[in-house]
Amino acid sequence: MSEEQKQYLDRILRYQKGIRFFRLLLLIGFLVFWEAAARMELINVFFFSSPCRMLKTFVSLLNSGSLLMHIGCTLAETLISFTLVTVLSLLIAIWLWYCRTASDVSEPFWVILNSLPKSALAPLLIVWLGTGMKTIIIAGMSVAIFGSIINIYTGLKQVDEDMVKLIYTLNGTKRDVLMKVVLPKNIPNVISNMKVNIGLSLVGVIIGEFLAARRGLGYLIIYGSQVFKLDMVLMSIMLLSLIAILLYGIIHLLEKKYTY
Amino acid sequence: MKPLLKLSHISYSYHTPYGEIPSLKDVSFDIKNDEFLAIVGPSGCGKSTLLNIIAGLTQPEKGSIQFENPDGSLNYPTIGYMLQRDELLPWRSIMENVTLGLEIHHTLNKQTKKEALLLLRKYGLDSFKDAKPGELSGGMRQRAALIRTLMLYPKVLLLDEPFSALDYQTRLSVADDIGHIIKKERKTAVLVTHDLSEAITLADRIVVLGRRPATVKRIMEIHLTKEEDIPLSARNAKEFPLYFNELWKELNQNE
Repeated sequence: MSEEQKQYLDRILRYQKGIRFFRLLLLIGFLVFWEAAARMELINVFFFSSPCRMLKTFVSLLNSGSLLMHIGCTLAETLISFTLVTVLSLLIAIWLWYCRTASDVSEPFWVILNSLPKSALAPLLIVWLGTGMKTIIIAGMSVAIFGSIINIYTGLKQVDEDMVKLIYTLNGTKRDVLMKVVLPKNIPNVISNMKVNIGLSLVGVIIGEFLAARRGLGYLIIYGSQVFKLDMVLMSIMLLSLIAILLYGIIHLLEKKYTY
Repeated sequence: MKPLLKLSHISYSYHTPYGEIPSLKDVSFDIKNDEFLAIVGPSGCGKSTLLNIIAGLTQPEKGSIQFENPDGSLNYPTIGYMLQRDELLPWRSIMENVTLGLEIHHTLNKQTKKEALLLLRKYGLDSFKDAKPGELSGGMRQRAALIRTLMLYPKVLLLDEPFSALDYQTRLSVADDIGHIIKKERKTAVLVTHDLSEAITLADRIVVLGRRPATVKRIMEIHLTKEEDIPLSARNAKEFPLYFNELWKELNQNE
């Protein structure tokens, strides 16, 4: 390797290290500033809590054994609704791609369903399905699924005409077009769509838990706010952020592996 | 030579909500067994439509295609089709691209894989069999696309301006290359192009189409005295400029 190339690689490495350092600094600075403001009584800890108080609440809830149950519950509901959204929207999008009439007829309805504020559906779901896990999972799905169908279908449709023609010149059928060209071409698109879906599923699950649950982080947030335990509320929100970034990270790894 | 395919009175129009665009009108000509036929004409005159009809991808509105296989078989001759761009699928390796047609026909097995490897070796691509298309030059990609077509053992090869996406220098050598392979594999070939010198160097006969709606203006036989049997030396043949001028005149009449 030449000296110049080494310097070039060094520069990139140093830049990336710097970025990571400043990200960490920003996070730690924020937490320290928060804690300091609380200790110096610049903010009212009753309303704004503090990192130490959140940590204390975290430990005591963890010891009582209920916290893991709440986290597990939210996580399970999110993962189930995310999986269902991904599978269902892929199947529906493929069906729409196969059958042009079905897609032309149903198009305006997907658009309406997608732009409808899904939280408006939650009360209805409770009446119809009760207050169990099923309701929460469907609430989670309702937020993500319509946008997901539209996105995946649009991706399937945007495949280069000439690549499709190639399959027909090799005596292929529409099924071959789907299996050999349209689906493989859309793997990156489907994965980036999954990235959006996991976040939206979490949003839907929390909305559902606000309204109709005895368990889960959404329930903890609502319960905490009603009994004015804002330590509990803020701690739950912190945990939600952690879950969100964790789930996103997993799909990001998947994306790295499957994009050519 | 007997005709392998006989096109009679083919007509075709495109239909749009704004009206009908006639594309081919009463087109008739023969494609003989083992010949290299070129179809030239102004751009947008329906040359590609004609290839689609020969390939069976589009049905003509009027007219028909008769065929007579030299071996007496009653099936429509197997057609191989090379598109303007190579359309190698970027997520597949060269080997996987070359065997795509076999996969679609459900005839991919050890034997056919070996044949694919032999063809890749024969045409200098075996060291790239695991590479992705992005790593190959334009000429190599076009060669891989040709091997993909040849793997299905077509009787007739249709070439839809297969060199037009290449830069001029690559284009000359790839046309040379592909022309050579087609001669070597003894295929009947139909080349659509608007490049007159390409048509003269490669073809045994040239069908000249007029402006839209395309009709056959003339069919010209090409006989070049070549020192070597390669298309590049064909450009130096003494008949070359004569054919070129005649074609040029034919295409620029009535304008």
